[in-house]
Amino acid sequence: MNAFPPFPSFLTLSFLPPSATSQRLTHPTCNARMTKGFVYRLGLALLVFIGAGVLVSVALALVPEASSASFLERTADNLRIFFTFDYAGRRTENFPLMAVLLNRSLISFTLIGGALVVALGLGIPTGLCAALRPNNRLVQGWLAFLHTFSAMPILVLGILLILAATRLLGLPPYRSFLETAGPGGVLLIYLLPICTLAVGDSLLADIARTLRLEATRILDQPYIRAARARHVNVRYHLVRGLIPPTLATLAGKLSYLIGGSVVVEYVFGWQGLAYQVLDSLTTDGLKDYPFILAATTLFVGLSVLLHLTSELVSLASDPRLRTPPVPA
Amino acid sequence: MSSSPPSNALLAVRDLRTYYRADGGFVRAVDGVSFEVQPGQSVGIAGESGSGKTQTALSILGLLDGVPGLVGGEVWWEDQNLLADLPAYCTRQETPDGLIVRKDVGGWRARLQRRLDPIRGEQIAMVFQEPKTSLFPYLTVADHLRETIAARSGKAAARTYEPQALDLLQQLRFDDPQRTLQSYPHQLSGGESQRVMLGLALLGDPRLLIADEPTTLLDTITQRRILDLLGTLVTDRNLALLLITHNLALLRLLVQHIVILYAGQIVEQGPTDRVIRPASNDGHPYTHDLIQASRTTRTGPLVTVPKNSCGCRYYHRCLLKDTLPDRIRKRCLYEKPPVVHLDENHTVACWARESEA
Amino acid sequence: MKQTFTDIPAASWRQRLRDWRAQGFFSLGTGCLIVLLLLLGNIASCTANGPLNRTDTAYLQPPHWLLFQRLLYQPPLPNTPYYQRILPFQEEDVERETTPATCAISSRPRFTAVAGQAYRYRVTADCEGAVYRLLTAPAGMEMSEAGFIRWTPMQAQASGRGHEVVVAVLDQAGRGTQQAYTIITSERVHPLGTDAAGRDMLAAVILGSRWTIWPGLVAASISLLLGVGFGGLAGYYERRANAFLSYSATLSDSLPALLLIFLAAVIFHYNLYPVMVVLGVVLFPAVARGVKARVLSLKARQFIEASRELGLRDTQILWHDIVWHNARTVLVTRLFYALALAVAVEVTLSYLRLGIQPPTVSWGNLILEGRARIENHQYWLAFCPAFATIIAIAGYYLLGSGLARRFRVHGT
Repeated sequence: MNAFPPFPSFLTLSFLPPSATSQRLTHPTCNARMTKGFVYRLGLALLVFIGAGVLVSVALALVPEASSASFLERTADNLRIFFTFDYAGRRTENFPLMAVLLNRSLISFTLIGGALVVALGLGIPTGLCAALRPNNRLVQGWLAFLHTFSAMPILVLGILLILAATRLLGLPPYRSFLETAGPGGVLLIYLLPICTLAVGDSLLADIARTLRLEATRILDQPYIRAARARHVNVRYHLVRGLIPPTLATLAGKLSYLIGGSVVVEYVFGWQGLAYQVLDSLTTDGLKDYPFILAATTLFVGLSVLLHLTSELVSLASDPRLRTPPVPA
Repeated sequence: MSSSPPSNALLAVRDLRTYYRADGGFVRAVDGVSFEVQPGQSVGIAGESGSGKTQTALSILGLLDGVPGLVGGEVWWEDQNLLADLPAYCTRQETPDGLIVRKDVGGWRARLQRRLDPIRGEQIAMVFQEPKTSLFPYLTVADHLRETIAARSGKAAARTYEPQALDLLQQLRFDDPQRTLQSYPHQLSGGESQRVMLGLALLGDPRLLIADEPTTLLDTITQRRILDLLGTLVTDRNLALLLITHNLALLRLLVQHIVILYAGQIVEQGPTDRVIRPASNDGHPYTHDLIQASRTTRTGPLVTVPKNSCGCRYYHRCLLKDTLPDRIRKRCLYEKPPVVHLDENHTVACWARESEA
Repeated sequence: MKQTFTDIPAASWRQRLRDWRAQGFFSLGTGCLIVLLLLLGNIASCTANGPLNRTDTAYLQPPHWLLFQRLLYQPPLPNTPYYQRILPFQEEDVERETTPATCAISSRPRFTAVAGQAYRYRVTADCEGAVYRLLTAPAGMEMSEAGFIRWTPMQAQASGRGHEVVVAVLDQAGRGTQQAYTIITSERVHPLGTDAAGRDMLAAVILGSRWTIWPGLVAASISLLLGVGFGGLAGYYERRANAFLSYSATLSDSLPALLLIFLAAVIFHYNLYPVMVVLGVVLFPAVARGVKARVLSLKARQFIEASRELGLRDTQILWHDIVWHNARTVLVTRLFYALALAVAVEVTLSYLRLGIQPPTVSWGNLILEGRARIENHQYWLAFCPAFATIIAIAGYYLLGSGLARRFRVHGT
């Protein structure tokens, strides 16, 4: 097969190796290496998922409860529920678990998704501007401002925003006031928790900082300078080089995002998934273990999936990890 | 500041200045460099590391990164001054306490990119010092070629480029062009990568090729082969060549005119056979240093320029000054040496030669 | 926009200040100041005896300092219409009732008074020739013709009750508006007000600073010990400890840390110190990764080979070369980051009722009680502990980054 490989479009270069149909990739050695790397990472992800399940099951069995089962019995029960996804043994609510899960998840993921959109939408331009115009006073001031607000815990940030919004609106921006609020009020009621989640626990600041570092690092590379001397558009290469670090940052921050959503839901009065988990944990009497385990499965599964995706993207973007070096 | 080119040279650089602000002072990377390249002529820029050779080439092509960067001079390409707008964006003022530069960095950068975009790659091409890292690590050679062609002639031309690609690789003396086309840069040797870079540079059919230390990181046998190839390519395509290196032996093989840089200033320039000579009682003492250095592998001290130095920058390393009378030595220390014409094309910037002439 | 670049040494004080700032002295100084304040608060709270409750102080008294009162308690004070009936009902009265008044009261009063101190309020209206009336007032309050209200509350009046005050202003035509508000009196000055349980806000905030240092130190020391241990070992003996470290790092990345902390809080029955131990364990993989990176970079520099050849024992090399000299920056920033995170976690836990339980004072508790009052425009209850949290976290953060910058300047 001497076919000249097709022109790599932007999309294929982002997700697939460029010479996807070329002869090179059917070479046995490199194919095996890439599959080996993929399988290794998949195995690690599964191991992490299992480890998390075991940890949460053990921890839940340690929760003091006035029931007759021993610690080992409870652990075994929790493990069974977690790994067989058998949530039938719920003891508290009358609604089917899936319905409750879906209802709450919608709210939680609205918050988390909105926070991701805001954080990426503000963080990416900030990081890029800071990298491309390092001496700009405006950008420096904005970064310093971000830095000061990023270290605040989500709780405090939320309370301050509520205070400010109450001064503006007259009523606090809790979700219960959604019906009586005007269009500006609705906007604030949706926007405030999303912004709190995006800025608090330094999600926005971390994205901006990672992008600035990585963009500076890429732009300092010799191949960028050589490409500019050839009049080749480097913006595409900059974007392509920035995707793996951004995904890695997001994967690292997702667990803090989920934890923060508990606080945000509590403070702003949203009845989301994480809030429900907290509620189940703190009720006196029978606690809803299947629900907690289901929610944990969802959170941990999401987190592990994102980590796996980010690692696979970094693997795919560097051919040095895939093809063996030919001795000169 | 003139509005017409000084001569009918292909590239004429006049009083080019590139300063960087660092650590309480200015690093004067390029400090008043003037030279010319005629069409089809090969010119070499020689000097040790830190003398400003690479900075000169990057200043010509507008690839500088620091601030303030280009602060003055003219670069005439054919009949166009590429730095015509620079005085509007940048002013320089020498005061007794120091230098004040006022420059609109962002605005100038945008202006320069707009002006240089049609020239880079199509009329002036450049190859760099580290060939393996100058190629994108995640693209094959074929992808590199296609990308450059697409940037120049559009995607349609890129898609049908295959036979010309194989032809180009054969011209670059590759044994197995098909395998090379599908290799990633980490699978190529140093010499192979440098040849690929040369191929990429020649894709746009430029009139001037700037080669920044193209063989420094390679072993001697590969060096010879690449220089051989370079010479062939230059004569075949009637390219003008600007070769930057610290190794004078290379320059003696390839170029006709040599410019010697020290600490950002030109200390000597002239025809090869005049500049590279056995005797040391002619020309600039630094040239003699360089000639000795390329015969042995001695590494000298890095170039350091004391602040507010107004005399000859080579003074503290100059071996010639001990043989000079006191009044000339005082001029070396306090006054900038003038450009002395030893011949029609051969100039030296040295007080000792000025007194002899 | 032209920028100026110059090498003329600026001997001005502005340039010197800028240099100091770049070297991290300001961060370091501010951070030290704040941590010192926290320490003083800790000492004060340890020596405080007895609960804060006093039955004779005002309940929900706003901050007495005027600036804070203006910021943190400004309920809406609407101007309601007021009519002065001179004669029995007449047609002019109907007209007066239906046409709105042209005069409105434009001043805002102070809502607190302290027994024995003078209370002053000047009523101003936005029209000319206004006539001021004091309709309802506590005993002893007088208003002059020009609208100056003067009052000195007596001991008996300062029981924490609210005293109704209604002032009115009339224009020439006899139409007017009135303003009604409540003054809360107390025996002592409460600069930051009191909360619903009668505790002085300032004292409560100082008492709540008890939890800012010691729990954080527990978490930080555990994370550092484990982190340095595992990181050093993983970097030094690369193959054996590496797998465990990378696995635990990925595990701690994937699990939502805050939910684990909540679980720990529930398991240990709201006891803060075991929760801090768990926090330390959650944080150690990040520290270990930093230390391991340092160790690896040192190994590449053949530092360690040289030390080994000189005959130093492994532990000596590990401590002296790696940890003290090179991991210093990593450890210092991680220490203060752990301290700041511990404060944040403690406040969040107390707010969610999973941490310090009332009646023990903690900033999170105060915020929780204050949040319910936000609708009543009583902001100081939530704002003061929130602001104290910000200051504490900022202090640790500044100290950490200032020290890190000093290390970098001196060379780590």
